[in-house]
Amino acid sequence: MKLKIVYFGSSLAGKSTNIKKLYSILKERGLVKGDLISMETEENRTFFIEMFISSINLFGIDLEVKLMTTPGQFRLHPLRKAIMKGVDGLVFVVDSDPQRRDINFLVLRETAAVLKEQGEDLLNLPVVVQYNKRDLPNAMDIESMEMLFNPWATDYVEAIAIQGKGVLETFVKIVKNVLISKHAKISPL
Amino acid sequence: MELDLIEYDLDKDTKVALEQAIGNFMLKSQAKLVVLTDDGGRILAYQANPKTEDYQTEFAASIMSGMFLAAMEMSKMLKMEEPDLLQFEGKSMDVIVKYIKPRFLLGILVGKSVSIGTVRLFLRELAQNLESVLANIKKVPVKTVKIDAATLEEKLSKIIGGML
Repeated sequence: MKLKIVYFGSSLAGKSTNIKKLYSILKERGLVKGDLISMETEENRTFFIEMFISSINLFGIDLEVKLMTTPGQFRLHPLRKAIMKGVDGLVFVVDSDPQRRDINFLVLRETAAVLKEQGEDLLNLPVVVQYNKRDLPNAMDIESMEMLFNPWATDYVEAIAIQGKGVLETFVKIVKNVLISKHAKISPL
Repeated sequence: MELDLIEYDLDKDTKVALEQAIGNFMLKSQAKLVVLTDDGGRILAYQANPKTEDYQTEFAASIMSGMFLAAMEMSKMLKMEEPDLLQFEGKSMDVIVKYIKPRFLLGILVGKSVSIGTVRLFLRELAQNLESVLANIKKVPVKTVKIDAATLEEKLSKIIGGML
């Protein structure tokens, strides 16, 4: 079973940090296939894509989860569209810095527009919202963030991705949500 | 609430037809890699000579589909006709990415010793074959697991390991 999961969010929200941390944790546990592929600019910003494949055996089903990031910089918007195509599930990485509130919201709106163009409805896709940088002294409170950034009322995770906190939990929840939403049916009695 | 978690795969006839079409093309064109993906970059079938690791082909497929879709975006922006085929030349290899109706892509890596004109000639025939096979594509359930959402999350957490 092949799943494509994309981490999206504003520039510097922590998408790449999530992917890199997750890769190193899962690699230690023998749950990845191959390397982390990274196409970065000279300033170590994501240019096109970062991705790796996680391989998990669940009840005898081989899950191959391809995890990707979109570039956060606005000038690379057309490349985000290419990466979003055919996505199974999304992780919305939200920067908890109150100064990034508007840009977080803008990215959410823009992603909805990209998916609509591709015939998908963002509100119908499996999503996990990750509130990152919870260690900021002036981090926005979760209640306000939930109102602004979680129109799905879906699972959310508080994270400090740079320390690895919340990274695995986010991954578990998005895999669960994708499996339930796209590969499960209510069992007949 | 109990759920049926279902794994689907292509039906056997479709798989065989895809493998045969790609195998014939590999023989004729001497391609190093032929990979058929959906528009999200998920592999349906591939053949490589010499053999590659699955994950390498997965990465190649993702990058090729990304490149093709980026070219589509560019053509939209410039109000050009959307591309049907993308080709670029490397020092030792050429890469071709071809759109296959209704929503698939075919990526081909071919060495410089083979004329690209010849490859494209055989590619036309392959594309027609694939389009006719994919027009009737069927997915069949191959495995079903009964589970509820909470147990699924618990099981995933157990496999993936302790949370940080």
